[in-house]
Amino acid sequence: MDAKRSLIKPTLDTPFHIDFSWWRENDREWKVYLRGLLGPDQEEKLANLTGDELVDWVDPQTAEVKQVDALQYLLMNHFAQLGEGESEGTSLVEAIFRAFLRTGNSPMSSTQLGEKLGRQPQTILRTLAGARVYRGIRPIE
Amino acid sequence: MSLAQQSSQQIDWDTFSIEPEDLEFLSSYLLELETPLGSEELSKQLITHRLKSRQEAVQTQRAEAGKVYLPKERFAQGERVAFPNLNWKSGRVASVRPAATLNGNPFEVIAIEFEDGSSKEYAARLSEHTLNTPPQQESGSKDLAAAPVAKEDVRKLAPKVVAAFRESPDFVYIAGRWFPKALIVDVTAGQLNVAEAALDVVEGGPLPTNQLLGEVELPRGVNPKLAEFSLDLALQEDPRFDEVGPSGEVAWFLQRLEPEAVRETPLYLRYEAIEHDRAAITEDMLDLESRLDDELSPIEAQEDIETKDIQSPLIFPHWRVGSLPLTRKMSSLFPSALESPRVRFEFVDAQNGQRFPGWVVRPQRYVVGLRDWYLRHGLMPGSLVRARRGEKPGEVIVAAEAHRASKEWVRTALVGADGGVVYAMLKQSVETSFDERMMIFLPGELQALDNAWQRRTTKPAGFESVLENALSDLAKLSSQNHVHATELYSAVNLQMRVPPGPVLAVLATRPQFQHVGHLHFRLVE
Repeated sequence: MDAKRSLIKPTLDTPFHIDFSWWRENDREWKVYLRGLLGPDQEEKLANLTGDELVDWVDPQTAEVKQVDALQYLLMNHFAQLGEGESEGTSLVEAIFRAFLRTGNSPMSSTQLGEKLGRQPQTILRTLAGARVYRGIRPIE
Repeated sequence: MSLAQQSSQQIDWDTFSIEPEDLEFLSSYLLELETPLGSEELSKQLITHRLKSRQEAVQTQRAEAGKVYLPKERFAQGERVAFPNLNWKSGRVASVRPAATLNGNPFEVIAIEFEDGSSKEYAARLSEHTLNTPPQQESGSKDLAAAPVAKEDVRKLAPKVVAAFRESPDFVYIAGRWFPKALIVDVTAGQLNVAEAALDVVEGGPLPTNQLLGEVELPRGVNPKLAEFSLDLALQEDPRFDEVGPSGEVAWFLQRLEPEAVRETPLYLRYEAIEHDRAAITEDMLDLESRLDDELSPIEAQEDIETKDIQSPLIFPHWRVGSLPLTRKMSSLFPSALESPRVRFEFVDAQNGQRFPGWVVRPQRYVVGLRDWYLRHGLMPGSLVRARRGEKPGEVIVAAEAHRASKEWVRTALVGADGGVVYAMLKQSVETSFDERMMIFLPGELQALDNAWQRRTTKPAGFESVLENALSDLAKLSSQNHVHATELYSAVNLQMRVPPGPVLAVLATRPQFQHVGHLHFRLVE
């Protein structure tokens, strides 16, 4: 399966997302890292939870409901509240990561990300399609 | 895709076909308006009507597709829901459950099973969401009626409306406007006699319909535009009257008082088609044919340039009749009409501003009314006539440039009592500038020549022998014994009306004519 996946050559139109299972598999401290991104309000809400509870997240554009774990839910809400301006001055990888969180981890291609972030789609594709997986951002299988 | 999923604005006017209900709508519209309308205006009305009907049908189907989805609404299991943001895709609520939340704001989650078999969950009873603001409705019927209709759509539909009206026995057409037959005001024979008398008083016309309406009293209370249309129709169906207005204007003339050269094609302009092999005409010849700009040449062989000022040499037939050829190029200067075969307009003498009537005879492709003007200014066959559009619509300014020398050696045709023609180079008093190759000076009376033309109506001359004789005669005037094709075209037309095509084809194919270069020919001994 992995060998097959490695053959996929992403293009400018290939959709990417944050693969939270990647975090679970590849970073023991993933919860610590992600919790560190939360603000004090979200941190407080998470205090009495394990973070694995499923919560109904409502897409701000379509009202479609997706079940996500509590940590992911709080992250998405936190970044949605911060808005687009908060990514200014961050690295490209960080800006992409936050863009996914802001939009409820909706799949986006390099072209769409380029438009959203005002960056070159080719540069985004080169970064995301390389051998290294940054912040769990991977093409959708 | 169901109608509910389509935009109410989408109608393909290219493939659209007029249905009986469309004609019914247009008929009702005209009846209500009591005013005849042109095909463009009718097309606009039909487009607006069709879009409105379609919009209503779309809205009805959308209403039937289910309850419009808004996240704030409550939905029950089994209820049909339509999603405006998903292009009115609809589905059924499979289940309803309370949402799992962290912030304590309760809402419900409804599972939707779409008609295509897919299923998704959506929020319900959620007070804050952008979709709670209902989608912008496509323009309502009032807006649609007021919205400007695209010219492109009108252009596509208008010919279809015209074709459908033509096929229908219920509509009548005149001067670019249509109206239902049923509502036409009856015009009696007595009223038409009054119209004839009114035109008689002004020597035949032209008079616009509204002026005639002042004389012909139609019943009171009739919409003036409808009265005008009804009178136009009655006049059109009566052979005593001729509609002679240029495009966009209706003007009436008594046919019996129209100039003879308008009522009937003058003898000199009548052409009995001569069979010839166009494939034999060389490129140089085709180029010459185009430059000679004869109204009888095939339309594709005529020069296709739109110009404001044209200078054209006269051939004998046009000089004799007082006409100009209505070629492709020339027709851009003269007023035209949509339907009327004859159009009356005014010539203006560029020299003295004098105005005199002119007529465009569209089917026979000539413009007439210049005979006196040609004689007054001393024009001859071969003289150059300048024509340009006047400042007012329907006005054409004509001019003939004065010739620099008063006496000139020119080709002169001497016509015998039997109508036979002999050419000689003689010093003549020439008043206007001319084309050297086409110039044929005609001294004295024209009676013998006229008689010869008259005789040929019963005893047609052999075209090829006329051409051969002309070449033989004209060659004597040249030291090299050869004659240019243009000179031959002009000379043949002194005796019979022939366009350049047959002259050139015969020159190219008959062994007795030898081409000596640059379209000069000589007779083989």
